Amino acid sequence: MKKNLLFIIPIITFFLLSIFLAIGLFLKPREIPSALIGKHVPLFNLQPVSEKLNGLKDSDLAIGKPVLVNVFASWCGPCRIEHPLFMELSRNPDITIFAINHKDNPSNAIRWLDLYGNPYKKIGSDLDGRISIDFGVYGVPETFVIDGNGCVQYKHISVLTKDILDNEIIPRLKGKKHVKCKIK
Amino acid sequence: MQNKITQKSKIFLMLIFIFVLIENKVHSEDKIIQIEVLEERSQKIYKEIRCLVCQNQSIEDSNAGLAKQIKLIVKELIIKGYTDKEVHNYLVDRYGNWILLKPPFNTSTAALWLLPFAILLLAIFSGTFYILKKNKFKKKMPVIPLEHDEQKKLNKILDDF
Amino acid sequence: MTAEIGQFCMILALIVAATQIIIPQIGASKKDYGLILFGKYAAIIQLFLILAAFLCLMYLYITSDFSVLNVWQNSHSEKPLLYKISGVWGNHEGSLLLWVLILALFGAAVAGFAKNLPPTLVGRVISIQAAIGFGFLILLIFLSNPFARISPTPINGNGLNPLLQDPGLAFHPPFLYLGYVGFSVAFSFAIAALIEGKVDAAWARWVRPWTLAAWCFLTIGISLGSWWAYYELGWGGWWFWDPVENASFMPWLIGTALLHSAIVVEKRDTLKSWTVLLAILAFSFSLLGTFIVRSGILNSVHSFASDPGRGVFILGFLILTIGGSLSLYTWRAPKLKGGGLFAPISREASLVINNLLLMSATATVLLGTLYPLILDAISGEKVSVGPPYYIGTFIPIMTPLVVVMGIAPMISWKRSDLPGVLSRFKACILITIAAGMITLFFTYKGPILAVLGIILSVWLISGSIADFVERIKLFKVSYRDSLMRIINYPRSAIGGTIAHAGVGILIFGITISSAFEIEKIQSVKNGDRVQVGDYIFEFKGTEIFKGPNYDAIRGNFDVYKGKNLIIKMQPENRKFINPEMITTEAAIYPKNLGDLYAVLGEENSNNTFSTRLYYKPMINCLWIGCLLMALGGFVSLSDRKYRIGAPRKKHTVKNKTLGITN
Repeated sequence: MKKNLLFIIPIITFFLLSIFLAIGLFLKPREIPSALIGKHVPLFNLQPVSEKLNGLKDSDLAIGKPVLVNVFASWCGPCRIEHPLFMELSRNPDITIFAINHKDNPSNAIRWLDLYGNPYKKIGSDLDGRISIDFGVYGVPETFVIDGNGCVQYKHISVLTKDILDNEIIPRLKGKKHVKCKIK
Repeated sequence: MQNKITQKSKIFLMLIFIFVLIENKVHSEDKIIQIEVLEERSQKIYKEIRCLVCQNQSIEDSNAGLAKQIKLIVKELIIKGYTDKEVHNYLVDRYGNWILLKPPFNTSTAALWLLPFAILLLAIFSGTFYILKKNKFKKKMPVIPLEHDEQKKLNKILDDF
Repeated sequence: MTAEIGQFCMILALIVAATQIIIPQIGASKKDYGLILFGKYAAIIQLFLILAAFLCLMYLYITSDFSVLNVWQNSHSEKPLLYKISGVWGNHEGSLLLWVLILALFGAAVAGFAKNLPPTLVGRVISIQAAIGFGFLILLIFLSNPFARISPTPINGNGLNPLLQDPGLAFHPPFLYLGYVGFSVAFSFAIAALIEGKVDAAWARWVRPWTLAAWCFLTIGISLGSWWAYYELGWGGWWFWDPVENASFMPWLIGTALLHSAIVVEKRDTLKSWTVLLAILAFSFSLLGTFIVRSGILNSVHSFASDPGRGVFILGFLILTIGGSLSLYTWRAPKLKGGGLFAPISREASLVINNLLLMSATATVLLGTLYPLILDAISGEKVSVGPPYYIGTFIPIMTPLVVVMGIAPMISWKRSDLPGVLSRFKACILITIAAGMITLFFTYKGPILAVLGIILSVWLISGSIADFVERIKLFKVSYRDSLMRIINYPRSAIGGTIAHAGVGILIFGITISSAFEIEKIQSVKNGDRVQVGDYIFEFKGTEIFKGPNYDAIRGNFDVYKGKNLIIKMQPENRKFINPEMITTEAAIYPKNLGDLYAVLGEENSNNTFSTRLYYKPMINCLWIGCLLMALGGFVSLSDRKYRIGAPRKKHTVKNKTLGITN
């Protein structure tokens, strides 16, 4: 009997393995969660894309209520797809949207915003992408939710969808699902 | 595009500036060695850092823009006097453990690092057990010397190999 | 029209497969040889139907019929003919058709070469082969139809990924699949044996040549892939421990274990249930590899475009076949009683060690490959498991394996004495120690792994030579007698020696090329000189060059040794138009037992070019080692006993007269 137990090992191992493989089919191996969640935003001070607009710095993100930071670029196709959602959001006076213009030519960015509308309160121009790296950005578009103390709450990678907006971002903007900030 | 280039050259200028600073401190002979050491160390780190935008490559192997930029950052940090560990930490702070091709040992990777050795020990243990068992039976059984023609037959069979 | 014929052939093949599953199986249980014979014919018809479908697809590719979706997505009218043909299997659908074709080929081959096999066993094997084929044909017809049409017909195709437009990669998949799918025969034999409840020396003797053939093809397939990565990807590397590479490596490791354990079953009638398990696992891991490559569940450099539907189907199929066969194993395997006893120092014991270490290595690779997935599933945390992990865990497992491998062929069956065996290896031990000391002396600060690698490779190579010399009694009898011994010696033993020496040479190549590689990465402008070891590379600027379906920037390097110009090297940067993609084409020049390797990167702003220059010593040993391994396999395969199937009475007598004893 004891010996027969040995012969069950392969099928059990395989069974466990196939459970993980099945779960794996519904995971997204290419999406890397942000390492900044529960941490303060990095220190930065970015120039505006044009003289008429505001630049962005770290203290802008800690204004006592949650804000959105969208990382975008005019050369980024998917950014155009999600842009109408931000336009719609910007009509809500309770919601503040900031942006980091990622490795973009400022004049192109302005033309792009003129064409599709500017939902952003302040835009920092990250010419060399260095601040984006501090934010752990690895592809555009990415969207951050930051709480009133400047603490990163959530990051969405790639195009923002209505579904993600309603289920993940809006609740966090309302202060739900709050992650406590680790003090350095 | 133009901006990107000027930014890059800015970084290069900065690097050169830092080099000049180092140069003032040390002999020119040492400088060459220092640059070689710098190159060697950064090459080593490149191989341990995963490219974020590629499928599965180190930044060493990648030509992607972000990979190149991270290479520059690595070099910059080394020049600033960061140890290899600190360079790793700098990147992990921003991108998480995913960026390291050699996963650090912690609670969530303990199984990854320990299981292979557990498996090896198990294999050694069970192998020894099996081999000894196969032998023990033999000792219990009375050993009857083979007849001459039996021995001949056996040799024939064994000669197959 | 051709597409419809192809489609029709696939559907017919599906129907034939269905009958081929049922009828010979009934025939085997009722001992009705007519039904089994029907199964044999079905297997052969199956092969022709799938071959017809495959040729239809190939015809569509050659004639660039873009009304077929698959051709449009993966081909282009301006592509060279070779790549139009290889484009057939450069995509998911076409490669799956190739997969099924090779499966049918093996099924028909079993049916054709079955003269010496018990008919009931053949019936069951053919039936199981068909069952596997049936599953894949469903996947092919309903979820990955290569013959689907599009309307309106596009003017031209999207083209094939330029990285795949390469002779190395044109032949890589067919060999790889011959290996992967070849293990299906061992699998079917194992299942048939479990159903029949009988595993004996004869069974092992039938399984071994099929496994050996599959193993040889897999060895060639993996090496071709590696070689391609070396010269085409332009990173100078040849193995990246990528999930897809691991997916091919794991069946190889298990296949290697199976080859060795089957010898024990054949000679000593023991390790039976273990060998059956290995036979099931070798093919199961091939299937797992198929799943990994085609479902996109892991990040990999070279996976196919993934589709969740396919992933779910393949996983379902995996659970059905692997789960089913392992359940059957749990139920039936305990009844397989092994007989032979052996001493702790014996060939059997050494092969047990071989098997356990190889399986530990497989488990490690599996763990590393799937760990990111498992952790993500459990906690959502993401980690990367890269080369440093595999190197760190693999070497401790492989080291004892190689040590045992060096002497094992000289250990006799049943009982042996270690001092006696070691005394035959006196010279090898001395050479190995000397080699270790010399390496240690020259790399006293250098990588300790280099010393280990050299010790292991010298040990294995010298051990193989000693083994060979001993067997043919070189210097002990006349040269003519030695020669006669080579000719008369069982080919399987000679093959084994060649393959073992191949592993030694492979380890040598890996060690030297990675420990003593010289790598220079820099920006150069016209006239710049770079010193790479003993060689000086002078950059002579670039020129524009037009290829058949790409534009290239070609860099010119004059390579000097001292003051002598030895070679002009021309690495390229190719820009393909269909599809748009830039590839780097390394220039490689084999020189003094090593390769000079130059890569042209992109142009920088200040008119300089990024370049990478390497000297890779002994890299050729890698390819030679792999070739020797495959060659050893083929030599072994040509052994007389596999051709005639029955025990070799005459041959044994002949050996006897020569006085060869173990």
